[in-house]
Amino acid sequence: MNILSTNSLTKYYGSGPSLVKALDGVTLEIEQGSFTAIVGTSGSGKSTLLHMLGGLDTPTSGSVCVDGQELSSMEPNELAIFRRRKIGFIFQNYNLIPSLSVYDNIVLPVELDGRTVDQLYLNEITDTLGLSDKLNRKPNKLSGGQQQRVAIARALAAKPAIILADEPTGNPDSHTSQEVVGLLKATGRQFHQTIVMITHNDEIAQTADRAIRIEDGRIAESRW
Amino acid sequence: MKLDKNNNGKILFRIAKNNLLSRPLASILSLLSIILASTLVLTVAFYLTGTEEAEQRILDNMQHVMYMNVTEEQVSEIASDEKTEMTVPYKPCDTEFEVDGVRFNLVYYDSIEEGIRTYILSEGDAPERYNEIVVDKAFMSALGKEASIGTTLTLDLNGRTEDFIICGYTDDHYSTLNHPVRVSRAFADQSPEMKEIPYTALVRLSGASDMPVSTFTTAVYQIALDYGVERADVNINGKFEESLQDGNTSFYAIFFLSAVIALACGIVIYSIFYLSVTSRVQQIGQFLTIGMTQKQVRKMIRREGLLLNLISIPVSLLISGIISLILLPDGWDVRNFCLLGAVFSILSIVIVQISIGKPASIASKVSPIEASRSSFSGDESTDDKKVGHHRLTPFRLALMSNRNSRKKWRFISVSLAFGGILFMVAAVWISAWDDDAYSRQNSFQDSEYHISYLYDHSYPRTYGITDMQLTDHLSQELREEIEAIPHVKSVHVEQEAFGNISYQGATFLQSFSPLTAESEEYFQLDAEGNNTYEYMAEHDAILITDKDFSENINGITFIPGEKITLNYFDGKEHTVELEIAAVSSEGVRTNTDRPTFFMTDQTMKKLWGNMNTASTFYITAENYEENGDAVENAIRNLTDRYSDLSLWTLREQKIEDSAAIAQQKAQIYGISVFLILFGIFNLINTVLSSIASRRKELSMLESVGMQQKQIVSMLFYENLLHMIPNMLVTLIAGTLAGYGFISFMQKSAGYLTFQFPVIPAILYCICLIFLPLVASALCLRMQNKVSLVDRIKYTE
Repeated sequence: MNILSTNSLTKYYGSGPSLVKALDGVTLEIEQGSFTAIVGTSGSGKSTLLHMLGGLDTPTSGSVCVDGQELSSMEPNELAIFRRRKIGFIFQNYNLIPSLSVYDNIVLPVELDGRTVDQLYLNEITDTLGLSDKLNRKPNKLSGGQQQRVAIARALAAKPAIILADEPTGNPDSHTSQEVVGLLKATGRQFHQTIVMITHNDEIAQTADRAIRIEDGRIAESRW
Repeated sequence: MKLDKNNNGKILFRIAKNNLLSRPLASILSLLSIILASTLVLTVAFYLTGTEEAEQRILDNMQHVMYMNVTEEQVSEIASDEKTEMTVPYKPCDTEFEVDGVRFNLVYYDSIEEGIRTYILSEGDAPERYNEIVVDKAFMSALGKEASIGTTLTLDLNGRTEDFIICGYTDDHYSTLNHPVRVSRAFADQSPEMKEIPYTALVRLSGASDMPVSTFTTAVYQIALDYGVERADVNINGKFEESLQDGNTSFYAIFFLSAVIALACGIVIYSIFYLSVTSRVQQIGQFLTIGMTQKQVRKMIRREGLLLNLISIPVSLLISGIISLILLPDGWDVRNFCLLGAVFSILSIVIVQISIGKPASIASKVSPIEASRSSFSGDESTDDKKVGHHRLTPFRLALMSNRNSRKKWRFISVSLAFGGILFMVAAVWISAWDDDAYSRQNSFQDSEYHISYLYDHSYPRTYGITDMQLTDHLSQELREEIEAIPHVKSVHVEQEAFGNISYQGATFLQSFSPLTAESEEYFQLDAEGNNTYEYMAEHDAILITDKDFSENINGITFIPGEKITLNYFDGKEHTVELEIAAVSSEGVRTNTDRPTFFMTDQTMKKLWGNMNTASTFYITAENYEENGDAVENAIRNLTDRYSDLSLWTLREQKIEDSAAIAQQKAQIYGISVFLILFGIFNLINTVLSSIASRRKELSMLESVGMQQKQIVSMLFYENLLHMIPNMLVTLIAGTLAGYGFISFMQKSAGYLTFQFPVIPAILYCICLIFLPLVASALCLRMQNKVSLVDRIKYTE
């Protein structure tokens, strides 16, 4: 069953001679529970596609359907609720809330939704990501890699149906990168999560169930 | 070239300009703050100087002195004296006339616009022929007649009617119950009503404005001596005399008030720039990373402030100029505007530069490495203390946000507090104003109706009102009749007896008031001599209070122990010598016209015997608002029986005061509304700046699933947590400041009464709570027009 699908998705910026086609007619389907890697050169439209899938941006034309729901028909509030329940987004530049501690940053989506945190699960995540002794720190006291791990933990904590990760292994060291991907895969299997991940790392892309290459805003290749 | 030589003024200017243009909302908010602050300071300064200017303009067109009871020849001689710059003959007739229920009096002077402004014709000419007159359009309106040149008006001159032709009109927009009718010189010299009235010479002295007070006074009395004018007939323009003494007190007042407001404005600007700088630490860090020195960072921030100043100064000058012109058109002066404008423009630049000094310094000290971290906010952050986790609700997030940005909110709170205090002072000022109290100043404090003998100063009598007192019209019977009127609460009878005092070569008419053994307040005055009842009664001696006035008028010095010669009349003329028991510079505040010469009741009885020495009835009504008119009509019915009694009421006083009240209120309301708006705008500006600087943070929250309403709730709680303490500070400190302000103002404006401004305070509290909420919601709505992903990527 497909959990994510797009139909002729476009995203254009500007007009006339300065028109930029970030996405130029992307149609794809992603199976539930799968682990998909999106690869491509810089500026190919990978992040734009991920933002569309996560409801963070609106397309110029085309549609995005997530878990049977058409995102373009949702109001901003509905999208916000949808995001915190269904989607765990791992940003390339972390986007941690500076005034909250590590622990608070991780549990934020869960508690915004009025749910109770699964403490055992959370402990497992923080142990795996090496954050257990940093839970009371503020993000500005962490290194870039540590902040990235907090962002990953936040995305996982809510047990969303879909995890969208924008270069989650971009900063951590290779050992951690392997652990991060392993954790993502494990939680994906355990909680039937669908993972879509942008990566520059060919090794990681090859471990995915499917790799989609984006070039000039279009799908150039799709390998299983 | 040395490594530390930064020869790059132009690039910093360009970067500063780009910084401002790339953050339009934040820049507009900063600009608004500076405009608002500068406009406030400028408006206050323009208003205060305008008040002085208006007063000076009046003095520039007024006489410096009046020489009363002079002949035409004396007027001519004074006019030809080189010490006088201008002399205008003037003849007032104090007798009140009435036509069709409208009161008027006759007066002669030429129509003069400059030098000694008498009246300005709006149409027609000044009267030349005997029966030509000039009246105000208000007079014609009161008569229900059309104001046109050539209209014939028949006036009743107390038993004699005269037909006058109106040759000119004034349009003075005054409100009065007694309209002046300007007659010709021929009428003034030949008519039965005015021919016996002596002239008064209105005189301006040459070079008087540059004289010290003593020189001026000496010159005035020298002229009087040279041309045979009695000292008692010399009436110096007190306002002009005061203006010679004033010196720099008003300058200090302007300086002090402007300094206080400038300080408040500086704090506001500081908080805005602090927010601006701390919200773009990352950008500044990037500059440092690529090689900008700390000095250059500081210069860059200062250039931004200077650019904002250069835009705000002309705007502030324009707005403040317009406001001050509206508030006080009579005080508008181009020279003052240019001078003050230049001074305060420089001050504005200085204040802004001082205000942004600290934020600029903070910015320059940012570590490039720390700033490169995306989560660096520039705020102080708490340490890593282990605190128990609380559920992350919008309220909890608000608490945490406030805890983490205490420093930022400290500045914001101080600036809001200043704005709030200014608001409260303005609200207290408006609330303190009382039309009724204004008119009730002095003799209407405890009474609403005054009946006195109709003394015509045009025809001075040797013993004042004594011969009228002998008619016994202000009798005990009349008093009882008045007391019997429904809703009359009380009738206070003022006793005065008149006589002529001769002392140290001066002779002047003076009234005496009686003191009883219970008049303790007079016996406790700080006086030279013996001011006890027993001594005064035993020696038939007199007490003189507020001595400076009498001494100045008459050019004498009262010495306790010496004797005055008193000529008085009780049907027969008498002369007696009375000892001066005591003399005091102080006086006793009374609710009637303030007497200054006193003798004991025993002495008064000895001199005037059983003569009725009542001079005025002060009548108080019960529930004046409801019963005032009825009581007035009843009293008037009684007083109309006597042609020598005059009734003056609080209602009439209010009509007389209405123009002055309207003008003052317009100014007070104008300034107050401006201060109030400053407080409100400052509040909105601060909230908007705060939200604009958290654009990215709020977007991040939305990206992880925080709904708009949750964000709005969080902002609401944040604002509430700040505004409640701010509210308390505003109410307490603002009320105290307002109280202090009113207490200070009461020295010259006794009609102001402190009242806590309940409604404005409630409205301000509501604004404090809900305006930030509305502003936040609007600001978020504007921000949300940009897509979420662009907002997340947003960097300053």
